[in-house]
Amino acid sequence: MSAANSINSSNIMGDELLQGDLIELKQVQREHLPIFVEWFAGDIGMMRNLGALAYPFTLEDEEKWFEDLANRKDNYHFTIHTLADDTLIGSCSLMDMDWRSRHCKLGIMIGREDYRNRGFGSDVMRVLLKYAFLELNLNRVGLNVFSYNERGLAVYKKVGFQVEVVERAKIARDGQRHDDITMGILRREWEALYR
Amino acid sequence: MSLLGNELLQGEQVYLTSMTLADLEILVPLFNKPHSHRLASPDVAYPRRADAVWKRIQQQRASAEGYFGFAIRLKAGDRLVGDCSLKYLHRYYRHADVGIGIAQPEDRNQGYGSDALRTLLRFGFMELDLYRIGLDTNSYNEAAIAAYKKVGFVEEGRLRETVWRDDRYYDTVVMSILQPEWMKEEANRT
Repeated sequence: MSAANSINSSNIMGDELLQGDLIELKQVQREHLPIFVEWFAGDIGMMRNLGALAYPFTLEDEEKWFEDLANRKDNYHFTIHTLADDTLIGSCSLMDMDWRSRHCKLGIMIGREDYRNRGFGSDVMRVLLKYAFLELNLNRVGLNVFSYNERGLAVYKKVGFQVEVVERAKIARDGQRHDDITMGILRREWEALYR
Repeated sequence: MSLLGNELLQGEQVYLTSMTLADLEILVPLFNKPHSHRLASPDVAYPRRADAVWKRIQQQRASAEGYFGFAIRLKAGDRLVGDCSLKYLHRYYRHADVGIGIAQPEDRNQGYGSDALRTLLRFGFMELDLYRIGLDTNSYNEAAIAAYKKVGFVEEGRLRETVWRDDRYYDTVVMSILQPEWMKEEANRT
């Protein structure tokens, strides 16, 4: 395991917390919104993987989301930038915080198709896990993935998530019903993998 | 069941009817007791006000998701024993979640909850045309898990360590019943 995502690499006063081997997480900016709209409009498959209908978002939708985000205490949203040249390649978040039982949900999209299947996504996931466990002091991180999204399932397993629940036939796509799978990783499992 | 009859919301021992603020003023203090609260919910056992619950129900009813809540009353004597609802309705994917509670401990294990749940499922599948009806429950609520299984719900898995109670973690148990499964259950019962 690389140093950047290891539990032992943390330096309280350093900037490594939001950095992986390939990417850095940053605050989402209003100027990014037209890029998100363009990504969604050009990639219906990605919209569907995220749980939305194949109905592209407008700039007004994104602006409303951005305004709401500022008022939310249960949603930690970041944009994903390459360490090599600061290219914006996607966005990700930790959301639905349950502070009392100490768990949340993770969401990620690599909007730039040319950056998929190259390890950027799993690097992002490892940084988010480090943030969830070491900064937010959580005990479990979960995520949802549809049963037809085999690439997503494989990446999440590789990062250390386990299948916990298979909600049968929860969604419909193209005339067929598909399962909604919840995966989760506990803090002690993460420590065992990344220590 | 006849299409134009009044049986849709009638169970064997109980019937479902609209929930009023006066009903909530009876039910909420009972559900506020820590034992009942912790059985029903993963949240902090902090007493809720009936008027606040009423307001939230009205908001949910007005939301895009929609909400169908009922009071559960005994057919013999009309006594109010609990409430049930279909919530988080998803119209184009045709699924919803169940919420159900029998307010007083002595009214539990009498078959009222199962009867109300079967009636609610009939409303969900036959009136709302749902395909999947799901629910979440705390893993320490073993009586509820057994009751849901008896009605035909299938356990789909457990969200590990998502409920913190008395210094340890419990799981959230996720269950569902699909429309074809419910049809079979109903055929077997009659």
